Amino acid sequence: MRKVLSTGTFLLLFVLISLTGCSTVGKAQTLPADINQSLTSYTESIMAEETTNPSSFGGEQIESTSPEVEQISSKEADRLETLQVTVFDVGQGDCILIKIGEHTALIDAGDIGQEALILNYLHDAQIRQLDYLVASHPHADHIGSMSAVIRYMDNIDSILMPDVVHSTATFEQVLEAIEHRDFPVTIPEAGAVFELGGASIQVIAPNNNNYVDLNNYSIVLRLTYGEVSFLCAGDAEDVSESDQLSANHLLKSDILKVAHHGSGSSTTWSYLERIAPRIAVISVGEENTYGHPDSNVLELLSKAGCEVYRTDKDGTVTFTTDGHDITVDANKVQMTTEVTKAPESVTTSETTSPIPKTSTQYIGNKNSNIFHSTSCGTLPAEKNRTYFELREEAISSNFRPCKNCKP
Amino acid sequence: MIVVDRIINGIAVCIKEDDSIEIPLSSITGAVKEGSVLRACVSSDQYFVDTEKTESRRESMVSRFDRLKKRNR
Repeated sequence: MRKVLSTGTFLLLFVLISLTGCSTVGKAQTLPADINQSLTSYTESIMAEETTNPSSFGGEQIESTSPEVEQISSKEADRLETLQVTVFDVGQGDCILIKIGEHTALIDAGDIGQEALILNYLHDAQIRQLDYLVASHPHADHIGSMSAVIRYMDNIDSILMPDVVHSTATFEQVLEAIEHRDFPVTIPEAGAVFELGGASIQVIAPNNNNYVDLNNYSIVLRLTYGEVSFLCAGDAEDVSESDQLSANHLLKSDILKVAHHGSGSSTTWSYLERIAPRIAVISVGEENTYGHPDSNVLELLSKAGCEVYRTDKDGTVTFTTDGHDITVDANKVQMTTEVTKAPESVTTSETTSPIPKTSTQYIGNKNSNIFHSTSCGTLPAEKNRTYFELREEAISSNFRPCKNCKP
Repeated sequence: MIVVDRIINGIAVCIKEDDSIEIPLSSITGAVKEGSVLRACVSSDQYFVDTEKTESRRESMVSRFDRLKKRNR
């Protein structure tokens, strides 16, 4: 499915919001031209980071002075490059890629066992460098495959994390990967703005450092490009939403990545009203056991007049914009788990390679004797996997189907 | 080690080594929360919160994360 949505039909809403002082579009700023380095190995990437990228992360964070930023005219927007936001179908998890020219940011990296999906895409898209990698919060359905991404990348200018820890092996593996690759970490503060090519990304949350639930530490980002804006709400729940509203951040956005997979613990009406999105996208696993998305949230989105996309029904959803119009590609196409050889330039054993090529339809866990579909959100670790082409083959090998993905 | 990653609708989603498993909260004895380290009871499907290990594991992660943050200053 491919749709083009013109901003013209929303002119009235835009004007109304402008009159109430809520309309602000971040002005594009440019990054140094030399940021895209052609690094070919782990050693070279470390050397290059030290020699050719001295600004690293620190130089790109700009303090937000005021929500009132100069608005880009339609003519200027027409001259902008294309920006693409891809919300991957990673089952019950989040993984969002922002790409503008040679600049890229990845927000979250799916659940445990999603390495193949994510690395395959990055490999095919020839993305070996990220301006930003955002670990929105330390739950495994957001950072489950992040250590693999960190090890795969030649360079990451900055890894954004909230100031909170978790005790899981998953979180520990992310810390290990960062330590090993020596990529810089930054704890972004609410209000800070980061540049990404001609786009800007403002940190909306967290606004507090004493939440009980990790979800509320979610880094919430508002991406602005020309006249188009995208709010990526992580798993922020009603408590964080309330703080965002109190902090008076500009929330108005054309597209909302609905928080917490559409859980009823997020997306309050007052929050939704402030964002006033015309498109909503929910990253959620098919037939998940948590009841996501919540029917009340779907009702609220409908009441708000949102066009709703869901990764469980629409697959990977890609939004493309020139800063004025938005194109939506939502095709229920399985991302391949067949990969491709590791790039020849990657030689260190510490660097993650894509998964070997296979005609796998089902993945079994050698420990539990449970088998899953390849898109299941709870796939076992690589070392515990066995692969089946046919369902019957798994059954005859005394494996039973996963209750989550029901293969 | 089994660590509670998150709690959703009465289910504790836990990380055991490199895998995730789901345990109903009704099968866990003790004040379970995100980050709790669980001990499995061999003779039943019950789990117990290991308070001591939960605290030491958390302290270890805090210290490791602090080192990373300081490295960037």
